[in-house]
Amino acid sequence: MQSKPKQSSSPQGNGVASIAVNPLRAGIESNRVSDPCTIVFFGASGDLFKRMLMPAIYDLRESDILPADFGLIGFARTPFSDEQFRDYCKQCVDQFSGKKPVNETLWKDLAQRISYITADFDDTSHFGPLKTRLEEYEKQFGAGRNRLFYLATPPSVFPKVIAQLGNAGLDPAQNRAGWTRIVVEKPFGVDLASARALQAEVEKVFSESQVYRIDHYLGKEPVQDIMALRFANTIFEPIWSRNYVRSVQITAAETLGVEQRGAYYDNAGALRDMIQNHVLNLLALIAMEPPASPDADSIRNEKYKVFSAIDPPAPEDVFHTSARGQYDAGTIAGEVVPAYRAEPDVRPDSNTETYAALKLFVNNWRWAGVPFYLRSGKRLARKLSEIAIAFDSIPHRLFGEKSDTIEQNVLVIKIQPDEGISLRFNAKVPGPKNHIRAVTMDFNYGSGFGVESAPAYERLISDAMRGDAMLFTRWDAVQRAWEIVTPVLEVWQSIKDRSFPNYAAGLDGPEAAALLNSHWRPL
Amino acid sequence: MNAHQVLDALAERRGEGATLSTIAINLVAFVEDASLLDWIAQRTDAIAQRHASRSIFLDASHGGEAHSVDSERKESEGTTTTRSEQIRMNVGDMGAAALGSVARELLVPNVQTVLLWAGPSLLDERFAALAELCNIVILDSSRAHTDAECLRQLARIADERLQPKIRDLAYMRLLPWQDLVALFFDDAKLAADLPALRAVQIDAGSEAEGYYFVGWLASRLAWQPCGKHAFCNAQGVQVAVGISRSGEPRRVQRVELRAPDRKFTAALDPDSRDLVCLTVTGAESRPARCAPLREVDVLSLIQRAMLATSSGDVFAETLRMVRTVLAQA
Repeated sequence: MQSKPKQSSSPQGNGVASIAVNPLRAGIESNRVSDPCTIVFFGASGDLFKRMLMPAIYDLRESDILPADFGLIGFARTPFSDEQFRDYCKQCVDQFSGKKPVNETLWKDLAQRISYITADFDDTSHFGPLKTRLEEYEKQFGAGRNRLFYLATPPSVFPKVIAQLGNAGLDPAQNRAGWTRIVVEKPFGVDLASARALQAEVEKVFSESQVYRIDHYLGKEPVQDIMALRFANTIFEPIWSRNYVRSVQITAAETLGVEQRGAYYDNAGALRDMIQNHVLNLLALIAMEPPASPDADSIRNEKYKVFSAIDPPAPEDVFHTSARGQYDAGTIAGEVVPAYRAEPDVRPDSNTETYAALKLFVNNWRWAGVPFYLRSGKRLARKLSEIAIAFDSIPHRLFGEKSDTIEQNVLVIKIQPDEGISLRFNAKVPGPKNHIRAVTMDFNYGSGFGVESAPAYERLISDAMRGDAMLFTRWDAVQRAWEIVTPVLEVWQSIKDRSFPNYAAGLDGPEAAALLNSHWRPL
Repeated sequence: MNAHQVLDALAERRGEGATLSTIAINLVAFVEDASLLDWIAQRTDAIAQRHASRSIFLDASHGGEAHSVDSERKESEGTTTTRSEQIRMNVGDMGAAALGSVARELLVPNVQTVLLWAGPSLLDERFAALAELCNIVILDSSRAHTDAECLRQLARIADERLQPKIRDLAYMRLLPWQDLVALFFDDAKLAADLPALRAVQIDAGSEAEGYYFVGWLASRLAWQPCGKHAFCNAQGVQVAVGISRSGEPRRVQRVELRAPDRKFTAALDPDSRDLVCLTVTGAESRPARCAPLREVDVLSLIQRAMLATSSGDVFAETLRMVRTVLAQA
């Protein structure tokens, strides 16, 4: 669903009007972002920039998606000269770009548009040079006055940077000649109160339409395909309700542990890190009503309605509607891995969950009574993200021998590592007997279209430059998602789970999860 | 040749038990020039690797009954799924009617069918018989020595029914060039030069790309042919047109547009054949900017042709203009 260059009539869409009068543009499909812009990465010396963002920028350049007039400014504490930062960026690209080998001519063209400001986020005086640099870029590279600020810093720094942008006159209100947008990485707050506090800071400087809260799961091609599956086909929607669906399972399982993120993760846990954002967003896409139109706000309105229809569990119900776990030492792919509590920067008596499962209901006309089972965990048996929609059993058995099991139909939307859709149904085994067996029909993106999906960050960064907010999360949905998980967080925080660690690394999760749902799909 | 023998051989390959097929595309390749057999076969094999497809390779350079089949299967959760199938058969002895009927039998029904035509002439009845079966017809009118003839044939046969199916690789190769040349005039200050263009020069390794590019420009800018090597714009002012052969076949080398005060040049970077550098010289010149020339290899073009939902109005208008130009040439 790559969009065409935006033909906006907005006065903020610099350079767009000229395209509208270019007769050579008619009928040409181009993925290039039409608005010139400068992107400022706060936290440009960090891991996210190194592994994801800078490689995505180069890959966008290599795919000719970056606007013709483009600049990049890194802004972080680590001291770098411009030249050193360009060398660092090149290392990031060499190491992590998906487009190898790196084209040296293209890199040189991109590198001349990259510079760096060594800065302390607390120091207001460091934001003045940023403003000056932006103005220089806008003259030198013709980048209009379109500015995309990207918060790739630790979340604790978000409010400071936002406030400093306002103080330095870099807020949208001071930039009427172009657009100003801000991309905020997850997590947006660590709980409901902190999310509201952060939003209060954001609102002082930016309006909602200028804020792009990123959830990179939403940039994955199979996630985007959920709406196409539902609303570009007629066969699914009539059965997409409580009348035919018995349950929905959403799984985001990882084999990795906390890696270098022990300090962050030990204060977060699986519920905050995955369920509150990624997994709930998947639930919304599955459960939402057809939007009135494909624009961002219509879709986000419908997603919000789903969240509104989910009642947060009452504190006394938390243990009936959730399960938590923490991994012990175990073996994954033949390799012995340590217990969570033995990971670097993790407290030895940590009560943080590395596995979380919830049972939720969407209390509306379509979904009343259908359980949505959500689970996410680290150090599980397999890396697997999928949504499984299990349909009702047949009402009356006509076929099959007594020994045969007539299984439910299951539609699986596969997100990773495989990307595609599969459907399980029953078929007669050839032969004189009436044996019935379940078979699976598979569609894989790779083989179905013969093209690889673009990495999520490429899609999301280019969408932010285009001003397309469809794949970004609106504040009302973020707030409601926090409201849904807050009772669980509070109960889990107040009552330690003395069984921790309660699952060995490399297994499907804790036994407690089976009490919540005895029919989890095997990992 | 009995198509059922081939289908029986495929069924045998599938073996016993419940088997599903995820085949979503039929790819029919027709080749008559023996020197192209391996080249086309490599590309159809590559497509079969990437797509859940049944490829039907029709070798018209050999007669007789010879055929072979192969398939790729996958086991998952107790189910055997056929992901792709390959059929190769000699059809040198077949006339158009027989060829069409055999091909029809071999197609997986109700899925998209693509013809990759590497036959000698578009006026060949076998082309019509196969094109009739297909949703998409991929051909390449860019040939080293017979460019204009192939384009003339295409312009002649591309009626309302056939034209939307056509994906001409020679035209598709130009799409990134069109985008990059348009990029000059996204700049509002330079867009004013479009009605004032006085000369166009295209250097390409084959003529088809040159004709297509000029046809595209003329159709976009409302030029009409007014001489053997000239168009007239809407004000009646003449625009000189030159198409020169240079460089590798089937590759555009350089496009130059001249206005009274400026020259716009898009040219392959001498150090990297995958980059095009754009320069504006003269009044208000701009620094050079290079952009990647993406997916212009044959395999990528075929892939794009297979996935494109239509050939588009711009192609139809361009082809009409090419027809007019060739009629005057």
